[in-house]
Amino acid sequence: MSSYTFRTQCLMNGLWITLYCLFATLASAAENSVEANRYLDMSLEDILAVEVSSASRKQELLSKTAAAAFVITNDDIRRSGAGSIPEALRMVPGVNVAQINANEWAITARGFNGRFANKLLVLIDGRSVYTPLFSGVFWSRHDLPLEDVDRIEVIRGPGATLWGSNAVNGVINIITKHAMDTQGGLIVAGGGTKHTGTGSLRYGSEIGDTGFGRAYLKYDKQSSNIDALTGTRANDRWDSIRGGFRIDSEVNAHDKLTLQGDIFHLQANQRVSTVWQPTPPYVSSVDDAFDDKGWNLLSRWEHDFNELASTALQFYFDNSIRQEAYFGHKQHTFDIDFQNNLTLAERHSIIWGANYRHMKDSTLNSFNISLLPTQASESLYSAFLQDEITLIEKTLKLTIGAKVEKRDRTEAQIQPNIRFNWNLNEAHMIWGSISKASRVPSRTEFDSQITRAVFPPGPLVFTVNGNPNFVPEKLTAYELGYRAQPSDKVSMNLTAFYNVYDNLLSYERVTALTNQIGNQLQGYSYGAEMDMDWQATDWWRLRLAYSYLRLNMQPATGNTVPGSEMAYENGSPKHQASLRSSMNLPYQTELDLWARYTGKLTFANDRATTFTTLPIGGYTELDVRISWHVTSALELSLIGKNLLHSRRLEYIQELNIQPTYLSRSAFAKATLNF
Amino acid sequence: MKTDHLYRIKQSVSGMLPVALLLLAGLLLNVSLLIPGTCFADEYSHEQEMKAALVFKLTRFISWPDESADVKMQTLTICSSVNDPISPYLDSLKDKVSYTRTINILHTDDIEKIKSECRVLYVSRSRMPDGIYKLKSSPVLTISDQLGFAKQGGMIQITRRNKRLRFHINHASALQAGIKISAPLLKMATIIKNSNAGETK
Repeated sequence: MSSYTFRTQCLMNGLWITLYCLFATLASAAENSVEANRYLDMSLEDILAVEVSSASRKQELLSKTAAAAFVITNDDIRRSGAGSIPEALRMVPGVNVAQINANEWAITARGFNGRFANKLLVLIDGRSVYTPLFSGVFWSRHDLPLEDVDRIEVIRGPGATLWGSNAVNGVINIITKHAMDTQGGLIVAGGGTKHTGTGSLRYGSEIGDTGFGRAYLKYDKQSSNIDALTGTRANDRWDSIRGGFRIDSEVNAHDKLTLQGDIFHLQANQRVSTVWQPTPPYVSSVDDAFDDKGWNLLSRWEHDFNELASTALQFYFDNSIRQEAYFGHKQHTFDIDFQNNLTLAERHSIIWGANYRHMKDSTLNSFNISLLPTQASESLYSAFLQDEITLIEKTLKLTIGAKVEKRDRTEAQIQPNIRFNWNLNEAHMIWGSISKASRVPSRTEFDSQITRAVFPPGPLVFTVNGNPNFVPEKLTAYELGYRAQPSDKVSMNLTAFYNVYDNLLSYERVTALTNQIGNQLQGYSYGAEMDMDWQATDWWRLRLAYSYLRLNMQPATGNTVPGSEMAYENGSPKHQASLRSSMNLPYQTELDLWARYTGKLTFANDRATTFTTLPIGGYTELDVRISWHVTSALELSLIGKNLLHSRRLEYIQELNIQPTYLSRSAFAKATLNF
Repeated sequence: MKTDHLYRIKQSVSGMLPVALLLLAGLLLNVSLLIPGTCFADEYSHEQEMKAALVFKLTRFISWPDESADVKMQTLTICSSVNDPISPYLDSLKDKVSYTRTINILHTDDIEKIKSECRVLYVSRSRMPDGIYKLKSSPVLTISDQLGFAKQGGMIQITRRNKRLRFHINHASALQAGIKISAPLLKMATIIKNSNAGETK
């Protein structure tokens, strides 16, 4: 039998079984009775041992919302063996995570990946952490103590209405634990071949009768990857020290206050392959040692008037400064956000709000990258309104909403969306949405001048320039989803989407030596994502995620430099899959296996294709974690990462950074609660 | 020739992956059909459900003043406000039997009615009425998840610490109302004194 017919047959079998199951389940699950309390059969002691989710009413609705949502819990992070947020994000369907070197990542949802991937909104406790410099994220800055992360909510697709700026292809919402849930002490110490050392200390206590607080200190040291061109160390080791606190207080029955802050300092190395100079030798490779530091402070006041109305006011400051060999950047952000929820006439659940953000930055330019003016200050204003209308009680809901966003340098953007969710019965839900989102341009897109080559003699300098007339990229997204929880042992999500993009970033030829950033690419993408959670036995849980993605782009005019559309189309894996197995074994031990597949990138970006000896292939990878709860307070764990390859290339950055190999690694960790 | 063959196998294996996953999805769903349907997991309701179950479980450790050690009352009425978010979860306790007592559920906001008919009053954080401390000397066991409730004279506070539910008990308040709380429950709880007296473990 040829492989083709065999595959077709398998496909038919798979489809047939899936369809059969779908309809059989839909047909059978019609009846529904009054729910019994799940905890009445447990003893008092056992109930006190059950972990409570701290999700508030609004947050908890995520599991019922008409969007492609995925939640990584604290326990998921612990059992995955992930040592950082990017590693944990590898379990999310529709999200592509690729490590560039020891301290840089390319992360995106639903395509357009790169070091400067710019279509995600990333929030930590309501604070936006994507940089207005290039609308992407410096991931190594946000290496929080993972023990304090309550959960990471990932919403694929536009979330612009509710969540704010830059939520074009997705929102990553990192939520740390309430201070009530980090009481007492915690010491984490570990070390390994790649993540050579980590140590963190956290202590939490009560503050007065109704307040709780915690403070932490964390240190990490990571060794270099392997230089993919020379085969030796890639000079990208880094270490970081960070600290922070969080205070939560329930002032009275109706008012809650939160105050939190962090401070960090990274000292990192990177190998910059091409640093251009106007004088001979014109180009050189530099082993850069750079500093990245910053702090933030956030406060939030939540007030509920009654069950039907509540309001929240939040403001934060965020400051950072990063100084690399060829560029330095200092950023100050102040943000104030107001939200109000209310229920009207029983069937309208309304959320509205307003946001003001002030951003100020200054740059230290070089011949390689410069931003002019070197100092800029800008404001972003937005307001949104969303109404969730219950059309048929417990069955059909319609959500309509819109956000208007104005930035000093762009026209006001109106971003509407309409969604429905239809509960076929208690266990099956179908949802769909049509939404529009715009991506506010970054400072680089407006004001940059980037040297891409220097040709002696002369020399002639080839540059890519920003465009002051750059307009927001636009997306219209169509999504359809199916969510099922046929039993408390099994749940699954299926999502299909079709995205239409316009005004996408392109490079336009201006002269033989100058390209300028433009808005001349357009196209569409489509794909499907699936995740499934199966508690096979009381000691064995399996989680599966799969995503499929295709993109099709084309230039609107003839001056567009070829390449960008290729990178958009072929810079994301077509298939991705993840299978996690978590077993609770005798003697308080745990065994976790995590297998992943990521498809190849045939054209990651212009620069990647110039390394003809370094194709970015697809890969299957395996992580293994073994842990032993020595006592209820002490856990020892052993983690093996990327076990199937001694060295492997995941990504090549669009600019400057030397390609590096990830290698197999081992890590041992002790966690002590006191 | 050989490498070409290997290459083809590799190709077909990688192409098979989504198919295999789809198959697996089908199989998993198939298995799920054997298990009767339940509701979407709802974490907020989980916490409320746990609190309601705790209210039921702890009643067996309580003696009211008009009961003797071996003659317990027949019906035990647990009350909450009409609009209290806990109310629907308390409803699931109705007619359950706790140590010879059959549970009855009443939703009322009338203080006099609470005094005369309720043995247990649960008041959620967001629903704290001003009148609750007027109950002080009535033999009504007051329970709440309001922070500082026990310290302000409430009898049992259900609180969260490190993601698990815990009891804070103001034993003096209960005794003052003639309500006895037995030792096993006190052992599981943090004992709180009124706010002017400080706190001991």
